[in-house]
Amino acid sequence: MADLGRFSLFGALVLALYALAAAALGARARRPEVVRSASRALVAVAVLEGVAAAVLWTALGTRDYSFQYVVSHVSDAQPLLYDLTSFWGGMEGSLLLWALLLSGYTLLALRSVGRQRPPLRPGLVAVCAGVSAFFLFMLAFVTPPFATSSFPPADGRGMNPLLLNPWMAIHPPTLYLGFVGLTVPFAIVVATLISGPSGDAGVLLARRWMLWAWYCLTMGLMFGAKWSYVVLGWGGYWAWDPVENAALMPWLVATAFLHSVMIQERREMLTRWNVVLVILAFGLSIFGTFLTRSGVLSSIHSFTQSPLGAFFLGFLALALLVAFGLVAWRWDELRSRNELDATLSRESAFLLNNVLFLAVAFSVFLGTVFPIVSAVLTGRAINVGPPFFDHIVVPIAFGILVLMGIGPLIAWRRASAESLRRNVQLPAAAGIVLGVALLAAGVRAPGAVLAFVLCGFVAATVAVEGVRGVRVRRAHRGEGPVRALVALVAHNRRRYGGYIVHLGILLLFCGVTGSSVFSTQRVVTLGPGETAAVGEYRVRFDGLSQSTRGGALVIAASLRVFEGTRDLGPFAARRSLYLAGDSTTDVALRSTPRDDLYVILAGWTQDGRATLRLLVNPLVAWMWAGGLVVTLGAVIAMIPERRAVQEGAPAFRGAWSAGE
Amino acid sequence: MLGAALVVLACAAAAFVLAPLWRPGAAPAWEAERERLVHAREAAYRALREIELDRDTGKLDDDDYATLRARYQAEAVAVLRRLDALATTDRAAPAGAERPT
Amino acid sequence: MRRTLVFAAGAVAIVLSLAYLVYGGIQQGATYWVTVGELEQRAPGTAADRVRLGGTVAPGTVRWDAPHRHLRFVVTDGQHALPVAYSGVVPDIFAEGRQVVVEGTLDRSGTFDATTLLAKCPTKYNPADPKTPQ
Repeated sequence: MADLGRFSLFGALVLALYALAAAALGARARRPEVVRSASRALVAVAVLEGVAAAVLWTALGTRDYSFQYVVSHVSDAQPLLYDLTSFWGGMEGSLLLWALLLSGYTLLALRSVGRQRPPLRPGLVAVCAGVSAFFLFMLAFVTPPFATSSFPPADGRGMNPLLLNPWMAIHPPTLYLGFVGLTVPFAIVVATLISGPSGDAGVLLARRWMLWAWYCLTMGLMFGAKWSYVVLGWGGYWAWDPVENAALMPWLVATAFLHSVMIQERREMLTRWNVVLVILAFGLSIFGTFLTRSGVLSSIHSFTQSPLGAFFLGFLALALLVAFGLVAWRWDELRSRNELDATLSRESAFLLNNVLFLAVAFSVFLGTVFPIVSAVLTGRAINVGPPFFDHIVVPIAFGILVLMGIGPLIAWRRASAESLRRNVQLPAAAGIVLGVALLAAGVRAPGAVLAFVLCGFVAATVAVEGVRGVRVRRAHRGEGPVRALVALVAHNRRRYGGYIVHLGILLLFCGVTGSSVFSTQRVVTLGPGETAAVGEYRVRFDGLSQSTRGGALVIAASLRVFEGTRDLGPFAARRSLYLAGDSTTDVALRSTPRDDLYVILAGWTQDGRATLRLLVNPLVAWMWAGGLVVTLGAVIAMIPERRAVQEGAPAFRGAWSAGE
Repeated sequence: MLGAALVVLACAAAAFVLAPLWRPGAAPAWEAERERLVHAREAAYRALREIELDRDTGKLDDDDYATLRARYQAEAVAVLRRLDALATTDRAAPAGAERPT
Repeated sequence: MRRTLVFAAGAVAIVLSLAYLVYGGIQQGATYWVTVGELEQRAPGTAADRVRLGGTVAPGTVRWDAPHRHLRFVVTDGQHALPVAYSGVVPDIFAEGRQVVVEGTLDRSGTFDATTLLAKCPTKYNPADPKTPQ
C-alpha cells in the first residue's frame, strides 16, 4: 500500500517534469502534438495523485498504524469522520491536498482557457506542471506522507482534540481551494506573457478564476474565525496570528485586483499593475502555505534547521524571478492604451482603493515577518503584536469604507463635482442620522460611532443605487417593483453582485466593530446556586457534573441564564480532559442578533465551585450573516453575463446600420 | 504482485501520455485579432449600458452622457466593422487553414 | 501636467502616512523576543522592559490555584529555567511539556510576571524538523 502511494507520487513527479519539458520544447519547435502529449501527462499526474490520495485516505480510514502519518493523526477513539479529515491535519497530507487541488484546477483551466485562447495552452501546461513538480518533489523527497515503521504501535496518537470540530474539518480545504486557485490566474498571465503580445495580458481571462479564489479565501477565513471563536475559548475570532495573516494577505491583494481589473476592462489601462497583482497574489499564496506549514514563526531558530523553509523560499524566489523577468521583457507591450481623464472619476477612486488594500497587505506582511527581519538586521528578534496591526489597519479600513461609499456614486472617466455632491447628500444624511441616533442612545466610543456612520453611509449608497435602478426599470418597462429589482440584478450581475458583496462586508464590519469595542467580560468564581451578572444577563451556576465521552473526562458546569426576570433556559459550559494532557473547551454560547453570551469554564475546585469567564460580545452574529451575504453576492457576480450582451446588441446594431 | 501492478500502471501511463506523438496534427486555428475584437465589442456594449444606467440614476449629466455615448458608439461601430471584415476574409480563405498568431 | 502633480502629491502623502502609521504601530506593539538563558543572565531588577519569552513548560512544575486563578510554572529552554507567575485565563492547549510564549517583565525576585500566556497551537504549527513526529 505504502509502496503504491510512494510510486504514484514519484511517477507523478516524473510526469510533471516531462510535461514541463515537453510543453516548452513543443511550443518552441511548433509541434502541437508534443504539447498535447504534455497536457496528457498532466491528466496522468492528476490520476496518480488521486491514487496517492486514495492510499492515504484508505490508510486513515482503516487505521493502518504502520503509516507514521496515521499514527500521528488517528486513534481508535477518534470518530471516523475526523480520521478522514485528518488528511489535511498535518503538513504531508496538506501538501498532497495542494497538489491534488492544483491538478484539478489545471485540468479545468486547460479545458476552458485552452479552448478560449489556444495559444496559451503550452504556457498553461508549463506553469501548472512547474508548480506541481515543486509540490510533488516535496512530497516525494522532503515530507513523504507514506513513511512507514516496521513496528507499528497498537493505537495512534490521534489529532489534537482542538481539531475535532466540524469547522476545522472544512476550514483547511476551503482555504486551500483559495490558495491553490490563485495559481490559475498566475498561470494564465505568465502563459500570455510567454506566448506573445496580446491586448490584455490574459488579465481579463484571469478575472473569473480570481473571483472564485477570492471567494474561497473569504470563506476559508470565515470558517477559521468561527473555529477560533467556538473552539479555542478565548472569546475572540481573530488574533493577527501569522497563520491567519498568511491567508489574509493574498485575500487583500485579490480584492485589490478584482477592483482594478474593472478599470482595465473599461479603459485598457493599468495592465502592468494588474499583472503585478496576479503575480503577487500567487507569491503570497506560496508564502502563506510556507508560513502555515514550516513552523518558521513558531521558533525563530527553526528556520535554519528545517530544509522545508529553504525549499519553499527557493521555489518562491524562482517563480517570482521568472514571472517578473517576463513582465520586464514584455514591459512595453503592456503599456496602457489610455490615461486617466480626470482626477475625479471612478478610475481614480479605484486606484486609491488599490493603494489602500496594498498598504494593508504590506503592513500585515511587515508585522508578520518582523521577528525574522529584525533578527536578521539587529540580531534581536522583535515581535509586533495585535496593537501594531490595529494601529495601522483600523485607520486604513475607515478610508476603504469611505471609498466603498463614494465608488458606486461616481461616474467613470469624468465625474462632475456637482453630480457627486448631489448623489452623496442622501446617503451622507442617512449616515449622520444613524450617528446622531447612536449618540442619543448613549454610544460614546468615537471609533465605533464613526465606523457605524460610515457603514450606514455605504449601506445607504447601495440602497439608493438599487432604488434608482428599480425606478428606471419601472419607468422604462412598467415592471412591478420586485420583478424590476430581480431583473435589474439579473441583467447587471457583476455590478449588483458586487454591491451585495459590499453589504456582506458591511455586516462583517459592524460585527467586528461591535464585538471589539463593546465586548464586556468578567471572571467569577461561583458556588452552586450563586449568580453573576454580565451585560444584560444574569448567569446562575447550578453545579458541576462529570462524565466520560470519547476517551475524555468531561467536566460540565450547569448554568441557567436570565435576562431581567425572563428565564432563558439551561445552558452548559464544559471542559474535556484527555489522557495525553490536552484539554478542550466547549463554550456555552447563546447567540442573538444583538449579542452573544459566551461562557467558558475556566477552572473548578474540589468543593464544587466553578471559575467562569463570562463574555458578552455584541453583534458577532452579524459577521456570520455577512459571510452568507458575501456568498450570495459572489455567486451572482460569478454567473456569466451572456444574455446581457444580446440584450444590448440590437440597439447598437441599429445605430451602426444607420451610420452606413 | 504489487510489482507487476506497478509495471502495468507505469506502462499504461506512458502509453497514454506518448500516444499523441504518433499522431502529429495542426494546431487549432485561432485568431488573436478576432478574440480581441469580440472582447472589445462586449466591453463597448457593457460601457454603453452602464453609462445609460449612470445617466438614468443621476450620476452622469446629459452633456457628459452624450459625449461618452458618441465615443463608445464610434468604438463599437469600428469594432463591428473590423469583425465583419474578418468574417469576409474568412469566407474567402479555406476553412481550417493555419494562421500565424 | 497638473494631474500628474496631483497624483504624485497623493502618492507621497499616502507613503508618508503609511510610514507614520507603521512607526506608531511599532512603538505600541513591539516586544523583544528573548530566550530563557538571556533573561537569566540579566541582573534582577535591571530589566523592566516588556519582553516576550519562549520556552517549554517544565514537567512537574505547574501549580494552579483555581479560586485565585493564579498559575505558577517553570519555563525552560533545555539548559536554563525560570519561574513564571501568571494570573488569568489559561489557554486550553497549555500543558506540561508544551511550548509556550509568555509576555511580561522580570521582577526583582527573578520571577517572570506574565500578563499574556500563549500556548503554541500544535494544530497549525509543525515541528521545526519534519522528521520528528508531532
